[in-house]
Amino acid sequence: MANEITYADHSGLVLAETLAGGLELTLGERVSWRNMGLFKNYTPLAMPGSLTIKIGLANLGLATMAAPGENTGASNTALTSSSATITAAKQSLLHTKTLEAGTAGGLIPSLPATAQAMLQAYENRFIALMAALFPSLSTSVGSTGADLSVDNFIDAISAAEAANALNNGAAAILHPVQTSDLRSSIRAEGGVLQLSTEAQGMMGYKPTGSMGFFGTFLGIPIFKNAQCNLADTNANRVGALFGSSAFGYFEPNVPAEDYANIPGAQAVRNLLLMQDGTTASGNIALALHAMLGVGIVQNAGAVKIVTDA
Amino acid sequence: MPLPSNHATLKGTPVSGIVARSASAGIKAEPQPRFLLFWHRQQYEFAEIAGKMLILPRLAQVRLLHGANGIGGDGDTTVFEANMRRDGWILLDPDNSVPAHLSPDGASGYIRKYATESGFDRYEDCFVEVRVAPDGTADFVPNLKARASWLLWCMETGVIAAPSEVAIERMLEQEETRAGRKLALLNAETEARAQAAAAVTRAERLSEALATARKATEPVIAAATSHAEQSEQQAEAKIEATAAQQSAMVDRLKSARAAKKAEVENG
Repeated sequence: MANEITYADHSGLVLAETLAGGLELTLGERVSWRNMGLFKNYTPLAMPGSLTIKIGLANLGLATMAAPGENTGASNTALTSSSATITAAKQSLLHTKTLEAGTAGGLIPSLPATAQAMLQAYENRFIALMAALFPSLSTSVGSTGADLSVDNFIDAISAAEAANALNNGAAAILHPVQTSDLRSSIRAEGGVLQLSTEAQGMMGYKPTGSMGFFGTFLGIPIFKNAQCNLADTNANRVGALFGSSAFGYFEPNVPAEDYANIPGAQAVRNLLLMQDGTTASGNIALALHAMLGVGIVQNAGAVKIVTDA
Repeated sequence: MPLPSNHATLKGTPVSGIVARSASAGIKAEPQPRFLLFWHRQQYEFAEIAGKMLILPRLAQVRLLHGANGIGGDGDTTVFEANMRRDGWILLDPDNSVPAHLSPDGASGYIRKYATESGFDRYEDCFVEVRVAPDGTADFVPNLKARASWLLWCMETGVIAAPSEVAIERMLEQEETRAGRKLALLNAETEARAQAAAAVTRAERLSEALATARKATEPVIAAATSHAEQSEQQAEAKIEATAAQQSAMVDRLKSARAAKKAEVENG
């Protein structure tokens, strides 16, 4: 029993180092989608007592004056048009290392390395949740069962521009099938597009990295991700083109003080890493929990791109 | 509104990537969370089904993930549904919007659940046929004909509004714009082809003209060549004749000088 406690304490220290260094670094990783600037962090709006935040959408700077006419008063224009809500929920990943696996060693990673790798699972979850928002977008381009074409992409840009959605930057996230179809369509383009360096740049392979950067076309950085999954009936995929006002996220902090005296537990910002051992089996379980919520803040700020599967 | 237990959001023990585990009886496929189908007003599309062009409503399949779209950790979809309604979406009731006679498997409701090898479930709609190979790998094939038949029924019964003439007209305009764009590209290509063909014809004609010109100049060139050759021969003959004359003259003079010299020496 004494060994168990000693081990847990020791491992806790190692994990604390991982959390203090690597975990913070990973959270601040520049290539993370969370930090690309187009997904807004609304965590500062959080209020005690709720895992839901409400974001009021103000009309400030968007209203236009009207002429009420002689001897007529101006009528009120509401400052807020609507609001959006984002609800955070617990996201978890549990890895168990058996005594046999630990003894054998080899390819089985150490606990700190496992903990570090589990942070990527958090980023993956962030992307999966964001991609799950795309089908709820009201504006859509493309056709079920048809390949994504340059026409569709131009339609998406036009629709987003018509809604003033791209004033502060833009990006598109597409399924790999869609990026592949877009490449084929660009290849068949005539006229001015075929001569653009962007079009030529879209033809080649790129080491896409963790964010899946695929290239810039018509001024829009395009990322590919297989999380842009089925929109319905396995016949199509749904990607999106969006500006900075469309999506937001909420990462409420976990109560670090609650876990301060629990061996093997480390709380950093919205993340909680816990480990414990099982007496009977000798297994060590390592779990990373994260509080995260994502939501559509302004539906008109993005256009979904629906094409074949 | 908490979800009824028969379509509760997928919950399960997080998967371990390290622990060795015997394969469960599930299919070999990626798990997919539960979903709901929505339709947004005025969203229709042209779809070619069984060789016929139909106007069908375009649905959105929204996966229910905890933490997305206002769905919290308890799986409560109240806020999500309210937000969707506010944005103009209509929820298709998962239990009642597909009658048994329109569903390919003869069961009502559109959500179907399949256990996967990973231990998580995979949710598909009832119009997806799951074909499982003997080794457990699965293909998911949409039955577009059955789905189209159901969507038409939805419009007939008013579950989904049938498209108004205004909506159809708008769709046609959009299609015409797209067709116009393609036609413009095609026209540009046709024009480029015509210009290329004209250029080729012109090049051929130039080539022919060059050949004709070459033919016309052949006698002149031949005459010129012949004249040059004759001149050269004449020149050579003249040089030869002159050289012979001069040589004879030199020989004669030499003989004369030798004779004169002999006369003087002999006295």
